[in-house]
Amino acid sequence: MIFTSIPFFLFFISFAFLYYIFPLRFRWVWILASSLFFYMYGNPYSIIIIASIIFVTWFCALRMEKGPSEKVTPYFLFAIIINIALLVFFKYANFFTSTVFDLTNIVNTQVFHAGAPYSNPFILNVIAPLGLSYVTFQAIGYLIEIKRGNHKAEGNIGYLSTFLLFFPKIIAGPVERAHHILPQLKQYKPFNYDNISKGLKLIIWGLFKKLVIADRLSIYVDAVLDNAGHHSGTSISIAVIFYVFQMYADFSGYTDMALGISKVLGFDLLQNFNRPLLAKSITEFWRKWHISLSTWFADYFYTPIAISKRDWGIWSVVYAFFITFITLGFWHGANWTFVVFGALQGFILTIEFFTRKARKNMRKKIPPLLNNIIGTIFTVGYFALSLIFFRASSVKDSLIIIRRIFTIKGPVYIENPTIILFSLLGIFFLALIELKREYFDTLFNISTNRHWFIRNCYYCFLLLAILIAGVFDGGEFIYFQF
Amino acid sequence: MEKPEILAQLNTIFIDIADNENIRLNEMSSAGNVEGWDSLTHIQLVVAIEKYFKIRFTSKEIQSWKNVGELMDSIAAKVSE
Repeated sequence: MIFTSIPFFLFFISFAFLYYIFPLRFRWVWILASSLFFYMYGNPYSIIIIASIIFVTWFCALRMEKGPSEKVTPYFLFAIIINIALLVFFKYANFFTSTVFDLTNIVNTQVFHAGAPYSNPFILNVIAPLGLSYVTFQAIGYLIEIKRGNHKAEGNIGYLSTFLLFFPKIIAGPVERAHHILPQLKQYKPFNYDNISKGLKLIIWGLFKKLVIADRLSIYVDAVLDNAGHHSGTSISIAVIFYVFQMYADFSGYTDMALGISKVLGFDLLQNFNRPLLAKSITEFWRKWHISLSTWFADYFYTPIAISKRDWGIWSVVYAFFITFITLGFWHGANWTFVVFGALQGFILTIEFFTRKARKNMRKKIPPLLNNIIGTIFTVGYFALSLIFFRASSVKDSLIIIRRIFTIKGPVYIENPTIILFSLLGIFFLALIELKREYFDTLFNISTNRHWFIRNCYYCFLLLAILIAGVFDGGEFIYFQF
Repeated sequence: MEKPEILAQLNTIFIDIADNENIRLNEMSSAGNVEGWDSLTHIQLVVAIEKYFKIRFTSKEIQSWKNVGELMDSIAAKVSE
């Protein structure tokens, strides 16, 4: 069920209405039942995998806490292995068998069959359950915190299930922490007008970003990048820059909706974005983009690796960068393109790490405005370059696209000028809002204006824009596939 | 070694690693309120602290500190061993 669909709209209205009728003590039961319905809608069998993860995580966490101390590590390892094994099997089984098969096929065809192609007989017909990687990561985080002694294991499997299955975040995050959600599940949450108002406003803003900006941009992006061989370098460059804004509007739009839906119910989810496209370096960018996932990787992956190799001195950081970002790239999907995407992040972070003092000294000699402009252009440009790999179906296709950008001259592809116009307007509006929030947060307040008329005019404008300029057949959110 | 002495030395190490001469640490200082102290410089800080005080932390200790006060407690305990 997609957040922008009519079935979800009907589901959410009826769910929220009954939620506030339910006795306070049992509202978490209603959330769990509704989350199960939301998750099983369309594909009821996926729940078996998710339920297995929840049960193993709950059982092992309890045994780690209440069993004998020598059993802590075996239970911890067992739960982690089950979580990772299910994730790897459903997400990467075909990738690994294909890679092995391709390697052996090269040998076979060259030595024995003189180029006769084989088809891989080991392709498995498995489809990863929706949100599997998000559930797995949250379960692993929960287990690690208990192993470290930072948190208590949850005795009630109902609460743990509600935390992991909470429908606003199950498909594409934010990657939540148990100690952030479990206490909220146990709090009494009476009807609060302020929460409803704030939540609905976030939902409208998220809808606007998805339907008016992201899906509008995707028309040009898809038309050019899906047929890059027929387009000039200029058209491809425009499409690649558009894709950066599409990705941001799509993913942050989804997150705003997830946060807004939760807020209506009285829950606060973790912030996932903090104006990343205004970052002045890629290092800063990764502190502002998909924050819940990057902090998860920082806490449970990067830091333990860097600590364990700290005798290597500064190279421990470089090693941890590359391992972390290649894994983070690979997390997005079973394709070498994502590995290259991650390696590109590791590469630039290493360069920025080694040059941070020199850059800091240089910044002192440049006016702040110019420094901000240069930093932002570099960040967006480099991220755009890496996204070419993120979006393409193969590394070879990515390299062809990059080569065409620099070698193929020609006119800009404009089949329908209004598409370009609306795309540019969407980017302009998004940039205006982000720049205002970054640099003039206390000035020109429209969405939070003290006069209700101005506030409501702003949200009416967004709603009207959604109805008039929204693209309603744009499809799923990009991050739903991960 | 007394805690004020540890704090003064930590301050010197932090200024050097985080490249921020304005750092004035106290027991409540943490990565959230010290500019330049992040997950990247954290490892360098640990290495510099271990080298200066001639001690060795465990991974669990390094990941358990929530502020400079807890870091100082770990240093004081190791130095007195």
